[in-house]
Amino acid sequence: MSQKTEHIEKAFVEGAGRLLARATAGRSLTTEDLVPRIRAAVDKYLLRDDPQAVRETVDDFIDKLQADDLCLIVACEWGDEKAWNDLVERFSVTVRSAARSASSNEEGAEDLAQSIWAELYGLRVGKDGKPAGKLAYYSGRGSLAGWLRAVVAQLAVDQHRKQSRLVQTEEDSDFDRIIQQGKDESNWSGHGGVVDPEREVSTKLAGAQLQKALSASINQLSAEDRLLIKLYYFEGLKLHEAGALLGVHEATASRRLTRIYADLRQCVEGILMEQGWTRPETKRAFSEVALHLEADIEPLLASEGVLLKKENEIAG
Amino acid sequence: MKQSNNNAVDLLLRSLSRRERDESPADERDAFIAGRPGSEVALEHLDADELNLYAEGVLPAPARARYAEHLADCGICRRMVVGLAQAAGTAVRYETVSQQSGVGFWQSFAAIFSLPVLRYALPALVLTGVIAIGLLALRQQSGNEFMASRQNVDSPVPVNEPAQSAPPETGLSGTSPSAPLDKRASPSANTESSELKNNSLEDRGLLAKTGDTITGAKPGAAPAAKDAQEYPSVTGATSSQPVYAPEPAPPPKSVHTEADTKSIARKEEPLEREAQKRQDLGYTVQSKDDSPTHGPARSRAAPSGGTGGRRDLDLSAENRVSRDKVKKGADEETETRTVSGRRFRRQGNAWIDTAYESSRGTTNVARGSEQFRALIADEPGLRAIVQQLDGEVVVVWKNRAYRIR
Repeated sequence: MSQKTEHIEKAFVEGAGRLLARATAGRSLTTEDLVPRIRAAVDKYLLRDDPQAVRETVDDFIDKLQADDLCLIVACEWGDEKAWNDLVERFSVTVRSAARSASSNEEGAEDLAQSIWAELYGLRVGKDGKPAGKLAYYSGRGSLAGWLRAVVAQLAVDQHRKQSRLVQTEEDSDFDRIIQQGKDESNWSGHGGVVDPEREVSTKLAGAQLQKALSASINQLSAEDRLLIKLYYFEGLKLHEAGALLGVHEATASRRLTRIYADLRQCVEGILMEQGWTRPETKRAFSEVALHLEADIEPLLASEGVLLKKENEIAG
Repeated sequence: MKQSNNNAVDLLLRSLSRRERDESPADERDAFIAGRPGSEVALEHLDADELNLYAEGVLPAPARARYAEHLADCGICRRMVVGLAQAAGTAVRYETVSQQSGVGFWQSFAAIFSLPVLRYALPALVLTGVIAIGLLALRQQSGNEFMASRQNVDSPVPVNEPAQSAPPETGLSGTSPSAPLDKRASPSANTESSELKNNSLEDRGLLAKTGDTITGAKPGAAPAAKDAQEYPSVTGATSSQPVYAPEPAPPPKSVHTEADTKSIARKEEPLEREAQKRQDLGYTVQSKDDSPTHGPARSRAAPSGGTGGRRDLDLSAENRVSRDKVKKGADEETETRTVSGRRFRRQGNAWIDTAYESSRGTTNVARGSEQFRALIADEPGLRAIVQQLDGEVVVVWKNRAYRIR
């Protein structure tokens, strides 16, 4: 074993000792019980991106682990009944709340919550006697409540997929019909007045090309910029929420967004000009398509805003 | 222009997002579950722990950047992260509120002295201290100035020479005091002022020799304080002159107070108007003494100095007392005298009414002149004063100043 590896191993052992000292309830665990979990977390989140991480960085990472939550989960993994009772008692409300958010009704939420506990309880120990299952994925770096919410969300997606594959409900078919009707209506440009069909077609074509260029431009952005655009426009987050998720202030996110607009426009113009457009044509296309979209989008934006607000209140 | 460009891009992005949302979301879920071959996104979906750590913002920076790259392209994971972040935000706010409610007094007290608070509190405290020190210094300064001004008030100060700023004097036959200044009269005023000044200088010299104080030795005389203000300081002996505290207020006078004087003046206004009328019409006032029909009530000639003065049988007891005092202290230098309820201060050879102001117009009257005889005939009170005081007398009578010499 290299000196570096020994050094890191020593850090794990000492870190485990400090973690046990920090925990209010050690649950009869030893450093040997915790070292593998700590090692896995450090490998996953630190050494994978920075193999030459220094001892101080490793110690700092270990010292920021949630001692009580990690000890609880490790104890549950090893079959500690008292630990299981504590887990259910402390986090049943969290699980139920997360299940309610992921489900459309109360019954589905209750089923989902029961499924979670069953799955976690059933996967305490694997066939080889070693801990297995979802409990092993908890690193202790984040909160146990948040981890449980993530588990519930993933399980909800799995269950939905299973249900949707089995049966296409009447509601879904009606929904598909409505979508199709909407698409057809969007092709109709008349608003009761005389419309120049040629102009209409050219506008639509220009719009389609513009949208395509915009998609390509978005893919050329950096990951963080792309994520900001997706969070703000595609997920419907407010600017301060998107900024919080990216770890920046709202003002920083706003400035970044302004810069992204300029970059996107420049990129779109470049793509269109490569396709044979002239600069005046691209400028005109931007303004015309934007005007056209504004007329279509404004009422929808207003209603979407109301819907988003209602959804947030329900999720609340 | 820039704003419109941004608006265009904003609208295009919104349109794009709507379109992608409307397109089959089920395909994305299938890719997530089945792990579509060739789809990097599907193979590297984030597990529950990674999603949770990103949502809570506790990942190291390199790992965070790695996951951001996946989340930018994977809608499923992105939506999960958004949901977890919103739920965590709500939970954190709830925990923060419950923690705050349980914070003890000492914790909250200690929080006041925490670094983030001190960071803003210290400059504010420093500024407050600077302002307070400045205010104290200003108050102290103003207090010192006040004390200095008080000391100046108490100590003898140079008198404002009345003749320096005196307007030109007018005679009885001349214009009224309110008339515009007569330039021809100004040299005489200046001459008089210089005479007064010389007299005052002589006084100073006398005082310096005798060592008498300017305010005199009369206790209980409030005007003495006023005199101290008005009399010139002894130039040669200013430094050696002791500074006296202001004398206490005098006892109430039984004779004419200023209010009485004013009321008398008001009563005598019609007479004054009549006299003024006579002047305007060019009447000469005959002395009653000269009138053959005049009875023996009035007598001529004051005992000192004045020619044509009459003994005034209506002298008040106070006048007799004051005269006696004057006689007794004739050899001594007395600076003030009270005659007919008026105080006069000595200024050289002149007796100046304390009510006299240098800015007032003065009428010159020579003793023994027709004007003088007419004046004292009409004004017995004035006659009494003139008879009491010898030499030059400046008296304010019925709101007019007369210089009788």
